[in-house]
Amino acid sequence: MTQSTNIVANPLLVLENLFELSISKGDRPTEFDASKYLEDMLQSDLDLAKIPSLNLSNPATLPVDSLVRFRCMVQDSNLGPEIFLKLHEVFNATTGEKQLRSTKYCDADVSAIDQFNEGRIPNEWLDERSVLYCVSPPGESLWMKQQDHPSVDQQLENMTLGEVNYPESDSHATNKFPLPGIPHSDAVVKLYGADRNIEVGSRIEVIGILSKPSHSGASEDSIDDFDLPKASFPNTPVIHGIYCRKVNSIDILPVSKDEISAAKQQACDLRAQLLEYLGNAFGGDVMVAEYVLLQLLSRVTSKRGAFALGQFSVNVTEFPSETSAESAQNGNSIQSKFLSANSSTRHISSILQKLLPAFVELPLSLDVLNTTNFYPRSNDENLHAGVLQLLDGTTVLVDETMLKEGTLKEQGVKNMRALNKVIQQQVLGYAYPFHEFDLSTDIGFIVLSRAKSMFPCHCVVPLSQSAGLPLLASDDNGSLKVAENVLSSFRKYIHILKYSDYDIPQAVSEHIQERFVETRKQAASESLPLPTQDDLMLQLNLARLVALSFGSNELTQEFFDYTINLEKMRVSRLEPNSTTEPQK
Amino acid sequence: MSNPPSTPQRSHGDGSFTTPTSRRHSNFLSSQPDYPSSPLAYPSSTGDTPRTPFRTPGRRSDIGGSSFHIDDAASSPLQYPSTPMRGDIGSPRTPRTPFSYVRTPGNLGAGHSTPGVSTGGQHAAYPSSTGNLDSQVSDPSISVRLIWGTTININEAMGSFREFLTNFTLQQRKALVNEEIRDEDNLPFYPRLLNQMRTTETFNMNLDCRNLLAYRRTKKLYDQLIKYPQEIIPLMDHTLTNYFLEQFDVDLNGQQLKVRPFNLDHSVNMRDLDPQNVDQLITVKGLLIRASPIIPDMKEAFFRCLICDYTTMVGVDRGRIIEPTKCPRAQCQSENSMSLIHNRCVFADKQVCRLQETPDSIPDGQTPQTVSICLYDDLVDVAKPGDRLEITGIFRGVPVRVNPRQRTIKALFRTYLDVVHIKRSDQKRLAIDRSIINNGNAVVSYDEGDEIHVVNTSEEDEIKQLSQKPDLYDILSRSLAPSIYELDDVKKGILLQLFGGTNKTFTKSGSPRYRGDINVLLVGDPGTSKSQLLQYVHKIAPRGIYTSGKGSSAVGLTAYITRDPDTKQLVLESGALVLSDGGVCCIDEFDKMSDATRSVLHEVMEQQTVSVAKAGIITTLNARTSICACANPIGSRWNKHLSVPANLDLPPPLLSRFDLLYLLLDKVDEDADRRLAQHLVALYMDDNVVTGGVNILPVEKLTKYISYARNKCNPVLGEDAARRLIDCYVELRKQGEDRSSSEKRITATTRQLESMIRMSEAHARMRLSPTVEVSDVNEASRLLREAIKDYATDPKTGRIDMDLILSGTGSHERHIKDDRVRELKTLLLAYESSSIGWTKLMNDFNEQSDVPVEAKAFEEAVETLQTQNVVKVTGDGRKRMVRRLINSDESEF
Repeated sequence: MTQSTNIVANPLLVLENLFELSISKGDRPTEFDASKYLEDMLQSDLDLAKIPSLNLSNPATLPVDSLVRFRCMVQDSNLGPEIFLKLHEVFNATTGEKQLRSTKYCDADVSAIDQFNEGRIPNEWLDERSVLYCVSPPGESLWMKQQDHPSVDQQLENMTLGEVNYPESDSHATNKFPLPGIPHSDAVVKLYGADRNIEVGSRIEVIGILSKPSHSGASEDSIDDFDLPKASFPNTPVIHGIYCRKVNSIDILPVSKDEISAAKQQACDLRAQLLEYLGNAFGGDVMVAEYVLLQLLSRVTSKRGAFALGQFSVNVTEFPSETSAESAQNGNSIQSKFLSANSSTRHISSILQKLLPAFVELPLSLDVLNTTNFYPRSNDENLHAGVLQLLDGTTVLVDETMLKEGTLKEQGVKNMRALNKVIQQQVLGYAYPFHEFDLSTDIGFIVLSRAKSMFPCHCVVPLSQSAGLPLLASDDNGSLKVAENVLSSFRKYIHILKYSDYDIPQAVSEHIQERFVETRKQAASESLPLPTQDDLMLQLNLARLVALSFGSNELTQEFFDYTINLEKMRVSRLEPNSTTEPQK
Repeated sequence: MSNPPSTPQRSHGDGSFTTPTSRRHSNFLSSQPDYPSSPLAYPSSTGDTPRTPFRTPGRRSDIGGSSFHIDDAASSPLQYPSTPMRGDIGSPRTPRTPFSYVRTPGNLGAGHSTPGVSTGGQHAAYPSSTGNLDSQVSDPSISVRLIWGTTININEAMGSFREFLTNFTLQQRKALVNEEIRDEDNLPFYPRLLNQMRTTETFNMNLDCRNLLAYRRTKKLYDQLIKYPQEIIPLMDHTLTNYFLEQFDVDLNGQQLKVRPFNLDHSVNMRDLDPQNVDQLITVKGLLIRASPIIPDMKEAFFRCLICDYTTMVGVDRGRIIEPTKCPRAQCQSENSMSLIHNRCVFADKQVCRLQETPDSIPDGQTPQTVSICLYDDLVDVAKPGDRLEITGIFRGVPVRVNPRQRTIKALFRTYLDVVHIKRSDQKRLAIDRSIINNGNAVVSYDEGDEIHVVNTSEEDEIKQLSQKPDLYDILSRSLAPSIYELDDVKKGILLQLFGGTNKTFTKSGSPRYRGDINVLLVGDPGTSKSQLLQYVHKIAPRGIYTSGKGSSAVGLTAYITRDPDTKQLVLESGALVLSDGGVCCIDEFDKMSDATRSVLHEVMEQQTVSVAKAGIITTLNARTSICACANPIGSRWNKHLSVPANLDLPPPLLSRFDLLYLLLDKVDEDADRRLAQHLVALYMDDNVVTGGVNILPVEKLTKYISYARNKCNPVLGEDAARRLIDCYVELRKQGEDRSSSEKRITATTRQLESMIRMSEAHARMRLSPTVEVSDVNEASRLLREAIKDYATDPKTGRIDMDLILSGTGSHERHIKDDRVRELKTLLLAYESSSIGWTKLMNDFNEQSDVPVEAKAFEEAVETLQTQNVVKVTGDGRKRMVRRLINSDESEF
């Protein structure tokens, strides 16, 4: 027990003892590694909750050289590998002996060591560590934070959460968080050992030693005449990672086997409830709610060449654009650049936020388009984040209703192009000098617009004219107030079904083929536009989501016919106003 | 160095390449009096064993006085005042680089962990060199001298290098790799190179390390060069200089020749640089992204006493120059009187750059890494940001000091590369290497290919293995756009486009360059995945550029001139076509392009250049690009009853420039539909299905294969293949002949023949075969015929007719026209009077004909007759009169 408290409070001391122990055991000093030890500790008596988390607390309030943990997104995977001295010799004046010390897991100043005077440092005392810039997960919902830190007192949390923001006097660090103006925490994470291939944009959990910002002050840079000025983060805390784990999207919400089977069994009920709940946001329009629900269940299932299968983007058209007086008043601060001024949109996002682990609202106003960056780009070797640099599994609500006529500047055009590319191909371009390269993403999109959106969404669903908009009519107290346990089952429903396996049995597959051939024949004889490959793909994708939403792992003929009917209803809505073509 | 130093010991001290280190040590030592001044006290550090002699001031001044070729020059190379650059390599004189460290001799770890080893005693623990060092001090003439901590035997190293210089012939290297050996390759290579260097007064010799490896006696030297570049390079410099001076009687004016090694047998990935590489010679590839301005690096400061005008030089010491506080002249001794005279100080050029990983070597999901590189002297400004470089240099790690004035350091090391050689892998700018060494035969020629992918040997084997597979063609075409179903021939056509034919120039006949690039046009109904195919091509093609016809302007495609906002200079900016030089330019919505834009493509597609004459800049840029375009038919859906030109809003001259034109029609075909549906369902069948078919190459591998083939393989037409080509062409032409009538349709033109040649070459290239064989020609002709069958079929007759594409009208139509004219002429001759009214003639003509003749067709016919001088038309509008100029008996002409 004491050991576990020790390692939290004074990890360096523990590590030092550990190091001496390993040497005395005859291990090679160069191969000292503490990750195993910490892992064992976590398995046995160290409670994760006892380790302070950077997601919650301001690093300034945490003692330096203490153990912390940080659940974060890797914003930049290459602040350059660092070569450092992992061992050094200390001359003990009293005993006259030389002792080896480990300088792993810290940024120690090695002061006036004898061997430096003689210029002797064996190469094997040097080691390499990778340096990552990490930020707290962008767009992470409040309930996710709570769920991850159950020990934190609820009331306290509501007050402090989301305000983990310390003054950023540091110009380099301000551009590192995808959503400018949103409170977040960030850290430079130094990883030792095997965790060398952590991808940018991945979600990791690090446990390590917090230390002060590594490059203390400008004195170093100013006199540095053999290096070009490189980005440094004088105000960002450094974590020397001892233990690092990659968290896949499927693992963010821990669910038990029982919960999975329960969710699948109750899927129909939950589905109906959820539809009603979502429908509230859309003025009771259940069909729109259904498409949105299917969207929430979609994810990229496989990537093939230029396009990604599985992700499904919805464009809700005929969406009202009035701004309520109330939100117009609030809409002035910088922070709300990423909060839509459209009250109906706010309403929807408040609902989605309660359901989704990660959610970002993206109001497309000319101001946002022209002044912010949607895609990450490297500027003087500092990778600035873009709004779309998000974790896999994030849902983005694009609000096009805010867009007015005006000039789109160069930045705006590039932003539009980036957004287009993510929606269409699920790849985000990272702009580096002289070249750009794409990294794959898995971001869901719901686009709200008045007429058909500028973006190539998979399908367009017009909001029913009869729907009770403005949507505020269904007030916050009524149907929206859903008990926390219901919400929690909603969340689990979405999460479990989103990551469920899926299969199409042979018989159904033949049915689908038959249908496709028939419809084409029919269309040809009536000289209607032929159903294309894209139409079929949309149907198949929807069918998959429909089947999943009913808790089934298999497509049945009923589900497929249900999908076809759903599509028919949607297309019939599109027809009356012939201005909008059916989207492929 | 050209200034005769007034105080020799100062001036000299820093010039010699290892002195800074040693002097630093001596300074440290002097503060520690209990250190013995024997050489044994300095066991460590970069490579300065022989530094011992000149640590004694007397000795040093001695050397300062002596210039180059002195008595013991051969045996003590390190005493040479080398140029600043070497100084920098030998030991960093940059600030905060005061420490060098030992390169882990085997027993070092043990030495350290042995408790109680005092400093003095510890040095004795390195017995390997002790004896030598001793002997060196006591008797400098003893030949066996090793550099401490290394295996370098100075004399042996210098001897073998000298022998290499004297004896090496290119033939030795070329024999190993089976290259063609020319007569002059049997002559010793380096004397000729040096001769050339003398005439051109370039004093850097690029040393191709492959030569070192090929020469038997220098294999060891090569290993040492890799491991201990800081020691070996100065030795080489020294040997080279000596050798040069022996050969030619020139005054080098204090300069020393420098060796610039390159072409190491393997290059290190930037990501894989680790502490083990520190202080080794390595080659990395990368993209230069930033360059600092040129930094004048002060090497020696010149001070003058304000009182007595006494001058003195002060060298750099540990990155700093210490200003003398007192006039050194014994008579003056005034304090604080020394002032720096700027224009008499000695500076060297220096530049700091950042090199970033090339996009292709970045692992999936990672951001690129960068490394700092330091360039010195004539390497400065050789490369510009944006260049792809292959840099050979010494990887260095220096501890970071907390404060430059303190000895406390951080446990953090700063790494950078001291560059010794730059090679540009960029195709367009090869100038540097040639200008640095020289041009002519003696120069190592660089592969001109734009190195897009590095293929290492294991990959090469893999590629060769793949090329041997019998179903290679199918595998590759399947791997291209696996998500797109069927369209096998289209995919094959595109595949051949990616490989491309061979570009030819016939220097003898002085004819221009013949393009080897294959252009492909896809036309078809919406929803037939044309754009997706383009996206794939864009992804796979080396240097693929993707544009959309609607959004492109002529200048955007070719080149435009802008004024730089900062400098107000005119700048030529290249457009998509120029940028895709050597690659594939994908143009979507080709038909939506404006006419002006399209017209620039005429030049690009046949001549493969873009000419700009604008705003005072007249130039021709290369645009050796294949074009892969797709277009929608007029009215968005293909009309089966119309011909290609009528269906497409594209001018025939442009159409004919496409080698292959594919129609992707959305036909209702039960079987095909079913297969498509099956394919799509399979995609969704199971989460994470890996393939859309078996045996598919991943995109990266396909790209690698293609770029390998493009770089390495330039197939030549074989005898049989040539004959077969002729046969195929004649056969194709013959199809136009018709037994029944004398009319001739054109089924193929020389353009088709050229296409066929290109495609056969591409097919051979795909097989990595050096010659084009009959099978290649067969496949090319099959593909071409398939494509022609699709697009050049006259819908009215159902027969292939190239005239459709070439002129826009098919031969059938042309025949009808001819008939019409003939009939009209007969009719005219039948009239009594020689002038007939227009309307009457037309009515009569119509009466005679079975099918109604349109007014326009009639007019056309009359006009034809007019040009044939058969009739003359007078008057206007309806009152026109047609006057016959010939009589019936003259009609047969």
